[in-house]
Amino acid sequence: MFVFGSLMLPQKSAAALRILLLCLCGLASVSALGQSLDYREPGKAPPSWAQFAKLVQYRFESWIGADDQVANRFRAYVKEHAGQEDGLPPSMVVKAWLNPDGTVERVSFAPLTDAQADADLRTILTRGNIGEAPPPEMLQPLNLRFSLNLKK
Amino acid sequence: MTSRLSHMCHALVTTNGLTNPSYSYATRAMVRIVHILAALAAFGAPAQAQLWMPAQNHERMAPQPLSRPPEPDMVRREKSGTAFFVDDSGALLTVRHAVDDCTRVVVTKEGRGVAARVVALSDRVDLGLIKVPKTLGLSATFPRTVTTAANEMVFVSAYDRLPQMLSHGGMLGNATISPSSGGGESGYIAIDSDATFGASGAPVLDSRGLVEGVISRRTGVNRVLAVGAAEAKAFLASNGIRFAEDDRPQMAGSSPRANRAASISARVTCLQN
Repeated sequence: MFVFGSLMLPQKSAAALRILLLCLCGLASVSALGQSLDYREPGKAPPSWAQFAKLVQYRFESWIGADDQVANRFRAYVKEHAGQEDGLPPSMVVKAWLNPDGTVERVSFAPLTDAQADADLRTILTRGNIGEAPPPEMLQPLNLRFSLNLKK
Repeated sequence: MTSRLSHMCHALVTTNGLTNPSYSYATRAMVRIVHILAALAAFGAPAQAQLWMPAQNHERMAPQPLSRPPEPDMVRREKSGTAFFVDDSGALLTVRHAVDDCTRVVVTKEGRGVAARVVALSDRVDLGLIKVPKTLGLSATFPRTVTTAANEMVFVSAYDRLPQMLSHGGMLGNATISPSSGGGESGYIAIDSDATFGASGAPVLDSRGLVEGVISRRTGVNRVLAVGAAEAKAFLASNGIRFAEDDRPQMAGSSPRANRAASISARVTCLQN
């Protein structure tokens, strides 16, 4: 299992958004024990997959922490609705499909209660280039577990 | 003053390493003055001017003070090299000569600049460890078993040259491990490469995407020395850095190494007074 670092976002307030991502490579029909052939536990995945997943995780963190209108609005939503019913769940899984040129083709996640936040997150995660091509043999989509918490 | 400035400028433009020295505006202006003075001296202009000048004009010249004109309070110099991330907490490895004697160190990656602090400088080899508050890229992986083979193709580039390479579709390799193995210097490997200014501190990536060395300095027309991975790992370990090691490929065989270099590298700028 990958354990990724946290991201401290530059904000004027003392509170900062902390994003933790856990990544699983490949998913189609995940059984209860995760034994499906088209699913690979992170610890058993080739290093090239793990490195690429780390890069995706870093890019997603950077994009969410960017200083622009959409990212600022999304972070404000997360912060304002933290712990509330209409806020983000404690953790969520984002599936990401990557194109051979490193761009994000699409992402999928459980719908957020706020339509604007839902659209913003989708926009943020598909806005840029990862910087490397995904390993040709890597199973897709990548499954990234988001844990969005406010650090007081 | 002329000789002093000339000496200073000479010191700026000659360097053993592959850092990229540059001048501030004030320094550039002084360099220009030195060049003009040197040109006048070379062509004997002052002597000719004296011949053409009426004697009475000499007598009317205002007395010139013998003291030196005031020098600028601060002659700002800077040198830039390359560094690369070695863990997920913002530690970067570079060469010692890129980050020593700095009043300030700045790490720049993808248009974002962050102040860095120098954590350690090696006494044995040309290595320096710096740290930024938070990582700006992917961390490098070193080979668990260091076995560099002569003529093995590797990739080497200054961070500033990577965008140009990427725009042309990336690159699998652009240098080879030289059979001369470090030119007799323990802990170093020799590389046949045309890497130039700004490549100091750049990672030497092998075909697996593993860091086999850190570019240190040029020793010939197409020959550079790099601190080997064994020394680099020992230096990091001695400073408590938990770096990644693996002998398996870290990227697909067909993936350009230039992209991986861009993912892990950054520009490091040393500001000096």
